[in-house]
Amino acid sequence: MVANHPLLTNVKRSRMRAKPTDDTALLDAARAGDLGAFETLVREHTRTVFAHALRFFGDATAAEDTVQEVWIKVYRSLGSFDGRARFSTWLYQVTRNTCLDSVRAGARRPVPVDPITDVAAPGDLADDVALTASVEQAMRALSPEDRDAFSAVALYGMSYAEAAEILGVPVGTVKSRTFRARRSLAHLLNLANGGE
Amino acid sequence: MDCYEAQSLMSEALDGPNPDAVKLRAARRHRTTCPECHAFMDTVALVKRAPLPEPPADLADRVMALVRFDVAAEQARAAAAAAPAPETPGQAVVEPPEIASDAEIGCAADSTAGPRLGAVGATTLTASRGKGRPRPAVLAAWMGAAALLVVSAGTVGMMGIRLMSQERSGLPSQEIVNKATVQTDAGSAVQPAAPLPAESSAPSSAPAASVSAGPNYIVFNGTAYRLVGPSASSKGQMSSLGTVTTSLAGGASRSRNVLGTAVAPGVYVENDQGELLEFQPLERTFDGRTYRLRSTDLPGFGAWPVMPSGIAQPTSADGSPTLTAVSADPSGVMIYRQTSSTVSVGIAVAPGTSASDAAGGNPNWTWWTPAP
Repeated sequence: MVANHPLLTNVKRSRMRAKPTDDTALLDAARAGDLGAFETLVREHTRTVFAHALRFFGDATAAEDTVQEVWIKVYRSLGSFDGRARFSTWLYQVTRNTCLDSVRAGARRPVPVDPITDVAAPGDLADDVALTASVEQAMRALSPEDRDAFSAVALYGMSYAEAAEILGVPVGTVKSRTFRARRSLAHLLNLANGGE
Repeated sequence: MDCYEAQSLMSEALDGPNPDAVKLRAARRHRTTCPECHAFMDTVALVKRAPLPEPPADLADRVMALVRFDVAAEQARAAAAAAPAPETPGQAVVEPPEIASDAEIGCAADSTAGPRLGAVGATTLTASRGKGRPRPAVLAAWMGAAALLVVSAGTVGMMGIRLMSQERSGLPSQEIVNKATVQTDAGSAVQPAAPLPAESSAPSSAPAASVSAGPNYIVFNGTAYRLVGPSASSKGQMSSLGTVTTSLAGGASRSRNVLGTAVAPGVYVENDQGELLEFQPLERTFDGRTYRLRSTDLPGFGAWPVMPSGIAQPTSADGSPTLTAVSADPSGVMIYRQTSSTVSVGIAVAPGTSASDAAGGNPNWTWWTPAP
């Protein structure tokens, strides 16, 4: 049964819409010096950060390195995080900036993707592995702006207003980019699955 | 209502409360009769259902190894900074590179924040994959951090010599332990120990992971025991197992009788008030085997156990070269073995576990051997 698949249980844990209170408590404990609390944050959110970085770079090695850089930056900045934003919002911002900084510095380059040829047919949609592979390939085919907005909202659970503040664009722009991302994903996955 | 508007409304409804419930109802009615919108929402649901890509199973462990290494490096740097200026001409002074600014990494700037942590540039500090060896691209960063530790060890070693002189002049050994924020073991790597809270000098941007006072432990016959509390047991039912030299909770450091029974793992020691205190060994389970914490002798409560002198210290956060990661235990703590032997001989745990772990947040590497 797909609904009981352990991967899906993990997905529920890893997506960030839930448990902001838990994050806040863990963050407070981590700032007070509790490495165990920080480790819990790491284990809770590493999958999300990894997905974010993988969608940006299209390369697992680059994504892993990014994850490590992100958490070191988060750890070193715990004392200066003022808590006005949610932890997930901050984590998104650190991850996004880490990805962009490493491209600016010439350290890493996103793997180019062809939206038509690189999105494989999902095959059996009940197969989570195949489904993830197809969805992630389609994610990579999105424009960076649409993917940024979609990740902020759908991956990190931000509201349009929160995402707008982070991305420095109007709320309506976040809304339209998120919608456009969904339309593109639907189109690409439909194409890959033998649709028009 | 056309398809674009219907899909836009249904998309918005997925992301939060929709302000226009009437329009949303109309969009959903539209969907029931529109194959295109039906297919759109089916695919959107599929995307939402898709599991996120799975990172390598050890990625979080690698992250935490880096963080612990960062903590240890910062402790060493803070200790070196707190020590008087080096008296040896030509001694190197290591300036840690800056990490990205607060604004760059997305947290609000805090003008009151003190000096930033930054023993190693964050953009180059990445733990290795595979068998835990640093990749060439990050080797320089590791070497830089190692150099920092070595320099700090030198500085703190000098401090240790001064402290030893103080001990000769009559200062209690417990005070010596508390003053030494980093202990060094001749010929081995730096081993950061817990400083007194009053003396902690962690930068304000850093969490106070390293400043908690040590626990109420004694070490008897090389095994660490934690204080359980006063015991109601009768001394008449126990036999003498040997002696331990400890100040306990700040009393005079002296040799005290250790009592116990042949069958129970706990031991008992009388304090200066004549109370019988119960101690139990610190144990952890790994791979179906129970291990006990081993340490060199401790002078009294407040000092953290350190690895026995016969166990070579690692010089890197990943345990190399003397230790090799085995796997995480059920609570997620990475277990290491000696590179030259197996877990049947003993296991090690990296610094900085949570307080609830059997290592109790010890800032040092700890060594555990199978319980008898």
